Amino acid sequence: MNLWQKTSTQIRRSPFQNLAAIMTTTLTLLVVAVFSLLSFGSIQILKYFETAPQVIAFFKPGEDLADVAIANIRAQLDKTGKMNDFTYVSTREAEAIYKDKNKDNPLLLELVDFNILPASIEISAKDLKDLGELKNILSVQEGVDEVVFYEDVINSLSNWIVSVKRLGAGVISYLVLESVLVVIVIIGMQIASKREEIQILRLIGATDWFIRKPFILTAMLYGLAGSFIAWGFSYLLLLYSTPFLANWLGDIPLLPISILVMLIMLGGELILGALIGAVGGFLATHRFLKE
Amino acid sequence: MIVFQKVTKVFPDGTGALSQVSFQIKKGEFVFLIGPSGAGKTSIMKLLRREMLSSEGTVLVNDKNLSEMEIKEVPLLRRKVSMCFQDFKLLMDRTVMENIGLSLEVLGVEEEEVEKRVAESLKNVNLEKKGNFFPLQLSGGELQRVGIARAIVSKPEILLADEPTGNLDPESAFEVLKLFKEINLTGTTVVVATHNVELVNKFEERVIALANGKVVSDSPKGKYELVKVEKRRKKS
Repeated sequence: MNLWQKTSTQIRRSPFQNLAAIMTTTLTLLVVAVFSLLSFGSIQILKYFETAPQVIAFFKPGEDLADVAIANIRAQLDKTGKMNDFTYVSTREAEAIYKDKNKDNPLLLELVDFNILPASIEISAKDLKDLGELKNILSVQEGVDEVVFYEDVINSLSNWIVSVKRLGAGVISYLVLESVLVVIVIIGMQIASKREEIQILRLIGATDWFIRKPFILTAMLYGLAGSFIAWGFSYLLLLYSTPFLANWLGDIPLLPISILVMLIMLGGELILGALIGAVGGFLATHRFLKE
Repeated sequence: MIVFQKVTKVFPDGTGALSQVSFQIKKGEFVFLIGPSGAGKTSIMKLLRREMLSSEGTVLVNDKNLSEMEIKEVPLLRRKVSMCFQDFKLLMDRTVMENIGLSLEVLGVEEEEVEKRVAESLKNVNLEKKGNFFPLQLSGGELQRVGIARAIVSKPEILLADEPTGNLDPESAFEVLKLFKEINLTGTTVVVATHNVELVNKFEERVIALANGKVVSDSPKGKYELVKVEKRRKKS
């Protein structure tokens, strides 16, 4: 009887123990998957805001700036050394953008033309903390009607990501510990039910590792099964909520999440699941197989 | 080679199992350890496989002092010093072949080789046709033969048997001991612990008699004279 046969016999003989172990690891890994997706999504959203224009100065509707005025404003901003990107959007360009965005709505297209759209200057900073200074320069320029400033959004998002990561780390640590303990108890029960066999194996010269292997492998299979199921659940959940999330996210290009990202997540989940099983199995055999 | 030098074994509760026991068994010898229950036969067997340690004295197997042996070396010792048990110690949910193959599995022998050697071993104990039977389907004598097959399949240097005939009828018991003798003829050292003197005398081998944890006689090959030993035992 080889190692796999031994392990599969062991698994077949204790269906309820298997179920308990797999369900616990599934729950843990599902939470891991959800928090991973949340973190990934938040980071992508943050990147979107960081790369998008962080300060937009709108000028009076229908009025374009002269080239000299644009160059003058740009020079003032460049002088600070803190600006990363500078774009001037004329009223004509604004109209083109507007038309592109509303190409499916003829009524809106008819109502608006470049005469009522404002020209704008969009800038991003090298460092978020310098946004305030750049915004102040833009605010005092002649003809500026309104300045839109994303610093608060970005700061809130950064804080949100830190909180998600902290909360995730806490909950995941707790659940991982719980899963390891459940695996220890279940493998311990299996060891207890095989006490006689283990004693015989020892008497015929089996090493500790030979006795341990099927138990550790069983525990790892629990972890792997749990991670696969958890990944499947999380993917289904994501697909199910994609229409709602896409609507909520608006222009932020986060969804659909690429299959590559999901496969990377599956890989991570499998590694974590196998690790939970291996640690649980190792500790159980270490604890219960003392001669 | 097995050497016992003034070996004493006292259990933690103060019960003495062996007292100053000394003897030597050469490679390839066949030796009976006899004595009544509690004489110390099983303790000697357990010491030889390091299932326990002596309280005093030295136990050497192939010049290796078992008291100084590291725990990780114990499985290797048990592969060289195989054991047949009175209660067979077979796995009830495995077939005869799987039980025998277990000794080779622990050695990491390839599956094909396991099958070949198990078949060979089954032939040696005349159980060729019962390889796929489960232990519950076999008689006591057959079970003991499975135990012997499992013990010899890994080709051990030393074969120990603790009351191997204890649960068998006289005919099966004789057959089992004959099997041990055949194994001994292949060069394996065989030590059989028993209290069945009648059976021992059918083989005329070296006999070490124990009583109250002491060696009371060490008779060379030939008929073992119980009466003299009984007198010695009473004197001691």
